[in-house]
Amino acid sequence: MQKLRTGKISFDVFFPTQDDLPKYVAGKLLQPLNHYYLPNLQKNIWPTLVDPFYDRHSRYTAPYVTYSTGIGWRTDMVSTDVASLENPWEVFWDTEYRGVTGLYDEYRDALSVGMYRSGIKSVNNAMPSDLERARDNLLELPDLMEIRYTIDGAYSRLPEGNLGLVQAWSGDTLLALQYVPEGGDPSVLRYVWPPKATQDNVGGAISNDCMAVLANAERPVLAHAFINYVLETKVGFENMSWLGYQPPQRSLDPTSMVDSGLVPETLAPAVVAQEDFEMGQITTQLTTEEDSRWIETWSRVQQGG
Amino acid sequence: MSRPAAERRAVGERRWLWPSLALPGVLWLVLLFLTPLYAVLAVAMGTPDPIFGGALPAWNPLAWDPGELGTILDELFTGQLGFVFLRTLVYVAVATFLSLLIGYPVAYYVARHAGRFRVLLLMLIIAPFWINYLMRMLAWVNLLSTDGYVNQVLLFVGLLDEPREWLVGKHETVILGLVYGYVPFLILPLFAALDRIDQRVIEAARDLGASPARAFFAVTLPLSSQGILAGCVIVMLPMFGDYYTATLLSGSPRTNMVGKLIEQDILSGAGSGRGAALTVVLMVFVGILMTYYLYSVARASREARS
Repeated sequence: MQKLRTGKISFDVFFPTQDDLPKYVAGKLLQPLNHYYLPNLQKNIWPTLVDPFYDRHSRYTAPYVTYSTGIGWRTDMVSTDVASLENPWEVFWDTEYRGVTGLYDEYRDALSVGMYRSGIKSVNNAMPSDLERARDNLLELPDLMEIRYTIDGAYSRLPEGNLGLVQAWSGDTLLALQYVPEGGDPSVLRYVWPPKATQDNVGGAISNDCMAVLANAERPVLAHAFINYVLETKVGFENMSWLGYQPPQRSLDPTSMVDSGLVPETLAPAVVAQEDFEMGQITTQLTTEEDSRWIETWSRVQQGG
Repeated sequence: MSRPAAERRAVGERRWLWPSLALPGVLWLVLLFLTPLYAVLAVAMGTPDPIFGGALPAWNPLAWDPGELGTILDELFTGQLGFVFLRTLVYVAVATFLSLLIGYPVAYYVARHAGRFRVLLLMLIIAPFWINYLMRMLAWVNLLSTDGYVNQVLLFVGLLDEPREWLVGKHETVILGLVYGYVPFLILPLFAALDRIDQRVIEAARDLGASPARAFFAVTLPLSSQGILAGCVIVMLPMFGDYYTATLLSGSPRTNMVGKLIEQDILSGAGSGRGAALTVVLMVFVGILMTYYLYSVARASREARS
């Protein structure tokens, strides 16, 4: 972001996350899209994300990939059916799985788990007292659970069997299929997005990345052509087979993905559906003041003790 | 032209010549040390950018806002942060001591007894640097995993009855990682110091009836003390700032070092000021320790000489 603002680096297409978009627009770093060059946006993409709340009429962005943040586990190391728990996040405090659990080493994701455990669902506008609850919950974990904070837990340590129960982005869980060691069994992998599994009783984030054209792009038309290309159903599908992350294509839903063989039936819950975006769990930008408070709380969690 | 005038001019030229040789070094220090240091201070004393979330550095010392520094000092003296500093200090002290224990015999052997294999052995010591530090640590993650080679070997020779969980917030694993990562930095200056020792001095000690052990402790060890000092400082400074060893080999808040806290603050949006303030506190902390260390070593060697 800083590098973009100083103009020291320049490229044509840029991939911001949707919750960061306000900053880029306020900094006048993006140019409005010309929809004439993007017929695939209307044709292929979920209507929810063609006119999303964060970017009305897709003025600056086209959606790239979607993901939910849930729980991934291995049935050979975790006997609990996490998806059927009243509050699935509670499993991270189940001492039966001491030593094999991991959370993301990322402040918003990890602190959110601390809040979900206490039944706080709307983490985007967390009160200071909510953050304190999250902090106290997470401070239990090092000694109680031998918790590990990693960034490769879901896509690498879970399929390798180093961890058995992790906080997981849905895309990482599907990517994990490519990281199963030779002779390993991919059918032990499971995923749950708690809001869906509990009929909206428990929290869990959902979000998407975007594609945008930078204000100082040298080849803006080519940039549009590239974005339109990525929005092709076939291209999005192929991209996902490499990346694990799912494009919001109309023709891709859990059933079609399982039928096509891209996603095994056991991991169907890792496929995001359009209606999942309507459950009030979309990650939104924090104010600088809130962000500072989250970071301070996170530092306290990482200080342990 | 009279001779005295020419001489005066020559002296005048020389007066400028020698200090000007220091110019590249001074420029280097100003550009790559003092300026970044001031930038860190300005970020620490600045405020977060209300729109972009990054840092708004306060370049003018009159506009400095010590709020963030106050928070850090408060956490340091009344909160948990003090323990993290203490843990960092203990890790670094133990790792440096172990590095010295491992490094000294190696440097001694290479400098005194390696003969024609000297160059080869030095190359082998440096060889791990050709592999990225991160890759070497990731290799340890595999070696130390529950069914990794380390556990297999220890089980085979009967030192363990069941596999040990090395990667779950264990202090010894992090210290091992630090030692493994930094020990070559200690061997090289030690080798240079041991290599410089005049062989005849040691022979003289033996001729005068000193046993090999006596000759080592009375002659070789004191003469290599500058190398020990340089090596220790060279490994301690980067260890204090290390932020990835513990993250990769443990990932538990129980083993976090200060560097990790700085990293996560600086990488997350509005935390740059906090991270910079923590950096300043760490620098002062290490500065005090190093001053005391260098001062006491200098005094000890002065006393030894007199």
